[in-house]
Amino acid sequence: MIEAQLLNGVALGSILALVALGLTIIFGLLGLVNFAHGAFFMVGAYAGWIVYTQTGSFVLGVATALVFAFIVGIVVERVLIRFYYKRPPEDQILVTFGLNIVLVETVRAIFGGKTQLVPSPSWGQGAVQIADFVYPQYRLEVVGIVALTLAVMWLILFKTRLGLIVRAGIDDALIVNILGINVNRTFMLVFALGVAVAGLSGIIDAPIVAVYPDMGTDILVQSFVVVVIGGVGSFAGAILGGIVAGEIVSVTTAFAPDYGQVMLYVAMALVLILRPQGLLGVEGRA
Amino acid sequence: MKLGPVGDRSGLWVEGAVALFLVLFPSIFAAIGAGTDLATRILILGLFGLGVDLIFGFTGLLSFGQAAFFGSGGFITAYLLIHNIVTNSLAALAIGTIAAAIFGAVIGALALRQVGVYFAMLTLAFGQLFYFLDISPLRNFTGSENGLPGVPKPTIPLGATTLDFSSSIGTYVFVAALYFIGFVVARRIVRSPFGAVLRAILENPQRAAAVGHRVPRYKLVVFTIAAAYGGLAGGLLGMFQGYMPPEAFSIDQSGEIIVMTVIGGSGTLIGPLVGAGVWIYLRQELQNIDAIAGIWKLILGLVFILLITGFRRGIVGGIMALARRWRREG
Amino acid sequence: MSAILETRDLTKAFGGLVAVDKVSLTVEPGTITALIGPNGAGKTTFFKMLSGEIPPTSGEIYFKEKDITRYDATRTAQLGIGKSYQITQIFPSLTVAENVMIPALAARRGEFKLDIFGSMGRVDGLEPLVERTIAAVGLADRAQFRAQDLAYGEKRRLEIGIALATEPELLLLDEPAAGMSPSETAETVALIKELRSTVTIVIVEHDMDVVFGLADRIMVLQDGATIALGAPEEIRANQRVREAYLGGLD
Repeated sequence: MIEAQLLNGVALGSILALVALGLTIIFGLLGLVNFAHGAFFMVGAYAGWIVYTQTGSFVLGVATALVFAFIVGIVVERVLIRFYYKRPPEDQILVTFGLNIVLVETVRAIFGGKTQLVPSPSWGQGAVQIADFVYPQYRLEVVGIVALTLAVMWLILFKTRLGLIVRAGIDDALIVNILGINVNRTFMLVFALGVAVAGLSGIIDAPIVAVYPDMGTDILVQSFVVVVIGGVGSFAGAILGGIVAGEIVSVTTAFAPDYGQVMLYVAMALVLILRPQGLLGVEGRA
Repeated sequence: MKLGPVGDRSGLWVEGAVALFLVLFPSIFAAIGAGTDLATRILILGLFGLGVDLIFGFTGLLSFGQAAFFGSGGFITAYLLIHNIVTNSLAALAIGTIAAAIFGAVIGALALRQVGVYFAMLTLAFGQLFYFLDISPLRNFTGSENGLPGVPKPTIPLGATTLDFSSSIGTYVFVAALYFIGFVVARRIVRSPFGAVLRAILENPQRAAAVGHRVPRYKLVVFTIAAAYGGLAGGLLGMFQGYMPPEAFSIDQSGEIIVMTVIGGSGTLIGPLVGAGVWIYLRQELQNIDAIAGIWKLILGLVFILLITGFRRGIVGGIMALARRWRREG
Repeated sequence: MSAILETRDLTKAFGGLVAVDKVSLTVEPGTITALIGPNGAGKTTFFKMLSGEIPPTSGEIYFKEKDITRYDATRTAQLGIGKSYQITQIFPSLTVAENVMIPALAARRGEFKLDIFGSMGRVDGLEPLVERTIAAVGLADRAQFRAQDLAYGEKRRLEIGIALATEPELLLLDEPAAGMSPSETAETVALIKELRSTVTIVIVEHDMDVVFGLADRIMVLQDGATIALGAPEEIRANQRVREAYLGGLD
């Protein structure tokens, strides 16, 4: 059913877009590729799931995921990440990769490796009639939640001082330093914000994919592909790349289920050959 | 002025020491209560790590997708042997290794268009591509999530007789011999003029290009060589286990070999072997202690972070740095 | 005798900004040409086009009458143009001898050779090239030191040494005396004077003593364009040049 798959693509794509947005903000301003980004996605999912199952309120779960991921982000940045801003990119990758292991294994140690199913919220249960087919209501709501989050992100990035610094810093990190802005605090907030968004994506995605310690790994790699396709350092690129990636996977799965995931990486290879800076990326931004 | 290899003042005693170690390894392990099989597994990963060290420790290319070659070589070798297409284990290994090298050249040609973090991200993605290819579309060849069981132990038919390495120590000897050859080859490479250029690329790739070296081609060649090492090691894994697992293609596998190389010390060639030894041995030992059995990986992950932060050179690297300082002050 | 280097209307534009504006220069072999001008005049960009690091927007570059306009840095180096950088670009963990060996390997082996099983001893002429280059820049007693452990002045000499070891016919020196004390600067000038017998030199410099002490010809750039080109005395007397430099020249 192609229409359902197209919608799946949007649902999946919007999650990917959100995760990729967090990734690209951190990379754009801090110059750091967060190989633990998927782990924050997972941490948010678990935090949200606990509160959701304890209180029955999905909204409370979502808020918890956001806040908890934010706090973990602050702690991690202060304790570890900030010592790496001046180190070579390979070291930054290695340490965030190590962080990924630590976060995933900590969660595994606490909760075990079992996959936990997460029921859709009460306002997201059931299916909706669209044209001549039925579609799970929650997936549509996911798109709505993501859109809302993106709107809030847009407000933060384009209407606040912090956002201005982020965007300026993405263009030219040196300028931000010279202008005497408190780089330390800004970096900390931006890192925490980026991973908080990942955590939010995690709980939102939980009713669809369930919750398990390794859930962040696939998302991590896929969000990398999204950033490559959409273009590094570009917010619109993260969103466009996410939707494109989501559609590629879903549509391919409809026609050739075996190749659904594979197609995504083929697309990445093509972008790389034909347009290395990505769809909306800025040339030479390396 | 006599010009020796760049960045390497050691002599042939290193090869001799490694050979001696390989002979004594099973005995050492028996003495501490670990088995020959554990030693064999460590050597297989050490071989995999030789390739990783060449690209990362000597050239500065951080690839998170080396499992693609480990798995490819492994599955092709396993398939050939299981279905009796090839009966000579060495021939099957050779084919798997060459195939892995070809994949390395193709992926390298694409991924090396980028540098630094983009390169790392791309290798990660290509690694995943291979994983999904293994699980889904190629499942009829690869057994998907079940892998390929029934991989025969190493045997070399020689007409009248057949060399059989199926015993535990026999497999060890087979793997150790190939590891030694791999080690000697890697040593020759890093001590050659080609290897000197690799080190220049590690130190300052722009200047290396600016003085007249065709850097992208050097990168592609060493990346292909690393893929070959991965493919050979993968083939040996299948033989050793009698079974080729899909996890050989996983991100975990790609990450593990990087972790081993860094813990042991990148840029030392024996670093990955030491790192593999530490990782695999500790994994076994920690899992035997009830209290921490479930968190061995967490502990090793924390150790990894500590090492990168404060002790970047790893175990072997740290020892070599100490030795250099003693020599200077002595 | 034909020119070793010639640029014709060489131009580089970054979007709307014209960094180098139709610069034409001819360099005779065996000479020292200096490139001067206020900050932002386009000297570095011009140099980068000569060394192949950035592609020109328009115009041509000829080296020994060969069109090298589209050549990249690697090819340019192989052809015989060496460059030393304003900000030292050495191989930090390697020794001085190894630092010089790297470019020497490129000079003696070409841009790529699959000698993965070869040895240094079999690279034709490598040892003498490395030895005499190290001697030429006065670092013979530092040969086994790690490059990162050298003093600043020594690093700058190594910087020139790396460029020299590519066996260039044309040597581009980008502010070789940058950050140097007066005595170090004098040493650098002496070194450059010694080199002039073996290699043609084009030098970018801010230090006017260095420029007037060395140059056979001087080209003055301002806002990307040539405002004067000629012998040192002519440049000294040139009114436009005086105006370009606030405070004038001595």
